[in-house]
Amino acid sequence: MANRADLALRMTRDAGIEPARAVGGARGVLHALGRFAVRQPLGAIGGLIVLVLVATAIFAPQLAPHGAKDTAFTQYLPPSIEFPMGTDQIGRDVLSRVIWGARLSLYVGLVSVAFGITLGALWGVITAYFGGLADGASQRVVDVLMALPPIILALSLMAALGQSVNNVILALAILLTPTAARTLRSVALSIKETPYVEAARAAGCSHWRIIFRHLLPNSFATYIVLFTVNISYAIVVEAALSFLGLGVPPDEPSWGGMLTAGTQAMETAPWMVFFPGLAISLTVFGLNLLGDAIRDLTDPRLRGGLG
Amino acid sequence: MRKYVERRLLLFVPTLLGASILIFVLMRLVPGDIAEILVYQTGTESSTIQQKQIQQIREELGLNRPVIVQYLSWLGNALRGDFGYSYTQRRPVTDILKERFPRSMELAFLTIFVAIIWAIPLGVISAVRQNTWADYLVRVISISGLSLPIFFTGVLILYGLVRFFRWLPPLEFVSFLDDPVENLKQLIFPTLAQAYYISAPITRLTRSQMLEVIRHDYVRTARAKGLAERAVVYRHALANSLLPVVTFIGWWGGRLLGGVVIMEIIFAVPGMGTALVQAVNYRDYPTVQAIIFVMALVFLTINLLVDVLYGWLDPRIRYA
Amino acid sequence: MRKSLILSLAVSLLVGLSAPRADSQEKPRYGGILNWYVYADPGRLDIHAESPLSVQQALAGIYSGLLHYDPDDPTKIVGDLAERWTVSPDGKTYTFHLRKGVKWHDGQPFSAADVKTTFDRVLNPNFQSPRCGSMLKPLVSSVEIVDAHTVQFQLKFPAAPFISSVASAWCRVAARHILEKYGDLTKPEAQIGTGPFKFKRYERDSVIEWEKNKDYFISGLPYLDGVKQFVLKGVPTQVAAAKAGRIMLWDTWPPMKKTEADEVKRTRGDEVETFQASLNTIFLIYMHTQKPPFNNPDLRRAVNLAIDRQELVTKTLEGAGVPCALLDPKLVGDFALPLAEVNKLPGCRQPKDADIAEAKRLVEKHYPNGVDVEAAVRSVGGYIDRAQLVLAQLRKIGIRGTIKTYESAAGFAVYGKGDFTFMATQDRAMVTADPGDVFALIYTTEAGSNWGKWSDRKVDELTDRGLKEPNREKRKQIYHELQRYILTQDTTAVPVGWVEGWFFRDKRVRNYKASPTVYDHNTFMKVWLAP
Repeated sequence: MANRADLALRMTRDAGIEPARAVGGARGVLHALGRFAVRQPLGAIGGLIVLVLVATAIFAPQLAPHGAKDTAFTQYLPPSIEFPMGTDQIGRDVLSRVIWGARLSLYVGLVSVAFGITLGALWGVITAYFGGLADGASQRVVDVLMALPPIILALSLMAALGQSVNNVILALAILLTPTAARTLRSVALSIKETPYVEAARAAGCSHWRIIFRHLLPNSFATYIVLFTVNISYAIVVEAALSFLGLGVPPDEPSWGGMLTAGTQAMETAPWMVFFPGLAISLTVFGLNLLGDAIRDLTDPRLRGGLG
Repeated sequence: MRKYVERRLLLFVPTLLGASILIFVLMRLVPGDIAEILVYQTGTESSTIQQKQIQQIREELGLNRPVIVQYLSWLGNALRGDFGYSYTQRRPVTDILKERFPRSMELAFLTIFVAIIWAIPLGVISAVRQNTWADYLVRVISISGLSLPIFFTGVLILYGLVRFFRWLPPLEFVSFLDDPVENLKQLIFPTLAQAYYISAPITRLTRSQMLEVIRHDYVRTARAKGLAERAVVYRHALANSLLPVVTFIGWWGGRLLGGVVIMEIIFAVPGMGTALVQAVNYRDYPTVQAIIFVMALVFLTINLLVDVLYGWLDPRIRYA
Repeated sequence: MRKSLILSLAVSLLVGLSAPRADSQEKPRYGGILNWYVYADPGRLDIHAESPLSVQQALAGIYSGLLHYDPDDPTKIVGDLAERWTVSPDGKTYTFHLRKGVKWHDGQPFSAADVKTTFDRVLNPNFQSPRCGSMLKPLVSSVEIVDAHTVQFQLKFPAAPFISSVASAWCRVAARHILEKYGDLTKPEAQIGTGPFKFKRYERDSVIEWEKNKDYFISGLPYLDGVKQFVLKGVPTQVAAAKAGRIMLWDTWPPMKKTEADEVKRTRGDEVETFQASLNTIFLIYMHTQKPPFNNPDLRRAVNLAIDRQELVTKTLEGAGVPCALLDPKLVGDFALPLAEVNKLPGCRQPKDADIAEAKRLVEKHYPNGVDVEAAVRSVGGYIDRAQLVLAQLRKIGIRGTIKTYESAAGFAVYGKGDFTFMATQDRAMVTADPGDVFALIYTTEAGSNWGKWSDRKVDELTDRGLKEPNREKRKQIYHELQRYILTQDTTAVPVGWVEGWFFRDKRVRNYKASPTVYDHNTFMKVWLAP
């Protein structure tokens, strides 16, 4: 098997497709990061932002001066030393809520995307590989789910399920699955036709081996891009749901919910709108820059300049 | 080619049906129905009378029948063009559709139009000058469009107009046919808010498609023939890049329609979006069914047209 | 004998509105369109069958009632279509003498037949009329025509609230020939009334327009050429419209918060006047009396003691409200217990240390480790904020609440079915300014908004007696006893306070007076616009 694999590898490299490969050790990782930063400066900035976000989310209990729901303070206080981001309409510290909000947004974004995109990716890749009736039927299901405007689907799901953080995650995951399924399906289809996979099949590899060894790893880049881009989409959809009154319960420190509450006091307490708005923008910005850069890097068709 | 189109058309129907079943079931999973809402919301009648009234309303509207019967009855009527009566407005749902559909479509088209004339040139620049500062600038600008939820951008615009100009767009809807200027005065702002948002993926897609096409052999050949750079870029590369963008728009149409809903609420545009949200809130099943049906129909039609166009132009798919 | 059931309403109600003396000296000018707004699309326009405020607003100036609140002095009820009325000595027969020469908007003459058709419709047991019907059906047994301009109402018993119910804007008179033609009043085409304005245009979700009725039965009125109501949803849009001068009046639900009112004032400066007014709406906290833990009267009592009403009003209503009162003196005059007395009652008195300690003791007696409770709240307006504060207060006595939010309509369905344990906050608006409303709506066994299913015979008895007592002084005693009883009982719904809000008026809008309830909108018949 190894010889055949080597042969297949060489053939596909000649064809211009680089399969996924692990580089050895921690030094290799640092090397890779360094190269990444040089090749994709924007992506590096994005990556930094995402890192800060993740750190904030992880260390929220240590970073936040107060709880997210503590209301012992005076309402509508402008930013000060004691409350660097001011207080909101029922006297909660905005800074604490923004910090806890990082954890909530990341949790909601990550988990819903993880479920939705991963499920969708597996679904798309597997049905693409096997083709036939299963593929056709599942495509119809995807079509049906995508025929409904996502906000409406999310709205109805939330109204049916009831408002809670986990239900928002479920609704968002359902929203994201069809997109991932469709995208990963077309990627898998194109990989399926490559000589690399044909060689593997000719060599007698089993279906599942091909899927897990070849299709999935080579779809990984697209998966990562989808992942990063859709985390920001999930955060934004959650914000829209809050605007319509059906997001996470409003006492939770969701940035979108804070934004919605802030729009009702924009002149009196602009800090209620500014800081969550900044948080959302930076997060989405960073995630998209990162996703963009990864896509640029891993999609072989796009490498290099003209000609 | 014909077989391809036929096959796609054939798939159209079950998908539409599937979408209508999905929303039918989903709406009935949402707690509360119009009878309960009407009666409990006021809460003035005594509790015994309330129960009676709820039953009465349900009888009238046929909500006591088994769900399958309700669906089939709806379907049967829908196929004949009768979408029933709205529970909240007591008028035929088709009237609501006729009134609202053109308005939301106008908003959607305006948004796409503005997004395209802004995003595609940016994408071209970004591709032609890949990895230069121009590329970076374009990417930053377009990604920042994605960074703010559109309801926020919309509210910011409203706030800014009032704060700095003491002016608001018209709050009263005037149809484009009656007074195009007034109509556009109201619609331009929600259009801008949403166009900014959706321009990012369009820019990005244009860029990547341009990059791919530019490297193709025939472009090299054209250049070798000595055609001016510009001609090469615009005539060959751009034309071919447009198609995936159009596909993408058809694909992303769902998200666009969802955004239209939010923009309509903020800017007081009486379109399908506001009608839909109100219908969902009041469990006005016939209206929800009909509007979703129409939205899905539009979405699938656009997808179909785009796919057919794609298939016609790309021989690989034509004969798949 | 004329009974005036509305005693002097607020000085505070009118204080912000007045330069009435200055206004009344100026001569009214004719012309102009008043720009107003409504918070939602009304949908169905049947004044007798519908219940939302948006319907009321859409139709306020179109119809006339037998009686109405005097536009010049909204504390008084005066005749509208009825020139005068008399009551029989036994208090059971009311005779209304109708104006002559009144015409419907389509030119047809008005007569007693229209009144009879209207009230027969409303009183029909098979006709669902959650507003006018539910007010009049328990009181009225029949309506008879005496002659073309005289109508008689036979009551089941001498009912004190009858006059204020008939004067309610929900009990407006519709045309017999229109009801015969259309069957109901749902459509825009069916909006033919006798009021100062004609129904001109209804662009759904966008705007409702009225135009001046040139043949209005009071000659010389109205002054305005028309009224335009924009359908504006959501606070940012509404406040933006106020600041940009697109609307001239904001006098109805939903109220502005003080911060928003200040913003409008800052933007428009001297052009506008902001004022605080009552909404005749009460802020309640409900407990389900048939389910644990609140089926235990001790627990209910504990909640009653622990809730800091003053803090809730200060923080969540920004001080715009009357804490503790079960009846608001501003709204019902001396039918309400004096606030001085109310504020000394357990639960209301400050400082709260003793009450909180007692509440804690009561909870610990049954739940030594405290108790967990799910608090239902609808995702509307400031309700979530209020809910959090309420739960923070209850945490002090060992009741640990978690908020469960419901989408607005789903919430009502849950409440109606009783699928809740604890409702952190829900407001109820009164339909008339009669003191009996609160009890009939919330506290009696059969009350429509008695979602906690409380049943106390004494409350039922007293409410019934109050309804039927013709003597005003005796009636007052009954309501005082009722208030004292409920305020000291372990009741199902804790009255946190009466809700007030902030509003604004463009100073060009003259001769405008606020109405006593949120539903009795001004018909704008005597309002005029300065240039």
